[in-house]
Amino acid sequence: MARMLFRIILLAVGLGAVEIGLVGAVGSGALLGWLTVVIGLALIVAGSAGFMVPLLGGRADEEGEA
Amino acid sequence: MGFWFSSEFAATLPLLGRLYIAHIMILPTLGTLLLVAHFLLVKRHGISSRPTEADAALEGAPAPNPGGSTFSAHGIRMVGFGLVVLAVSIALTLIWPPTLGPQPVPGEEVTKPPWMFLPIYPFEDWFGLAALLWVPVILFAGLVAVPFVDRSPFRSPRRRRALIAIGLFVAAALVFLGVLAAFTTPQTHLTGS
Repeated sequence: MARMLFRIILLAVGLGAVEIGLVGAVGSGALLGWLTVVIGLALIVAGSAGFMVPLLGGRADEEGEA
Repeated sequence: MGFWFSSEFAATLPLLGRLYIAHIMILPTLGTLLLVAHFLLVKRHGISSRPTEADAALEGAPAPNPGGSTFSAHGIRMVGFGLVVLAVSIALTLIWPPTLGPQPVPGEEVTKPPWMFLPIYPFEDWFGLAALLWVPVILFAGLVAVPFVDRSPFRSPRRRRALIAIGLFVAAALVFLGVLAAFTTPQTHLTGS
């Protein structure tokens, strides 16, 4: 459960970072904006992997909590 | 009931600002609290077993495995499907960016609502603006009444044909009304000076 919540937080931070970064990146081509987008995308991949792998047939976490 | 919308509630904050705040702060907060309550109830009661297995248990078969899943495993699957839906939605908005809709006419309201509200729009044409309040209230009251009206212990749709038929009828009616609203000429409901 704690792992799931941590992944959701990673996802939320990643989505937020991409949205914030896109303003500067696409709007004015700011380097900081693009950097924020890249970091955000990495966080999205890290956060979503644990949810997508079981969905695509991979091995799910064996968390014993009911 | 309409006090929140009146100028007595806040003379300095325009109605548009109040509705904006309601949509970005109050409604999402209420929605989040409802979701938290929903998840806590799911965790408390466990994941539902399959309807056919639960029905068989009522008729003497062995009790089904409680859901056959854990809250965490189920949550991971739900978030995974949610991410797929989010990705598809983002892709669709990139391919077909949503527009702002038709140009409003100052002082007059002759535009149609977004598609998701179209099924209740014909009631506004037939019965006036007040219908926009009482039609959704009736619909949601009907939903709330379902567990009180349908007391059948069985869960399988095949054993609840009357209620399933009513649900299908309501769904078909909403689709029909939405199509009707989409193809009829908008009527003027508000006229300004």
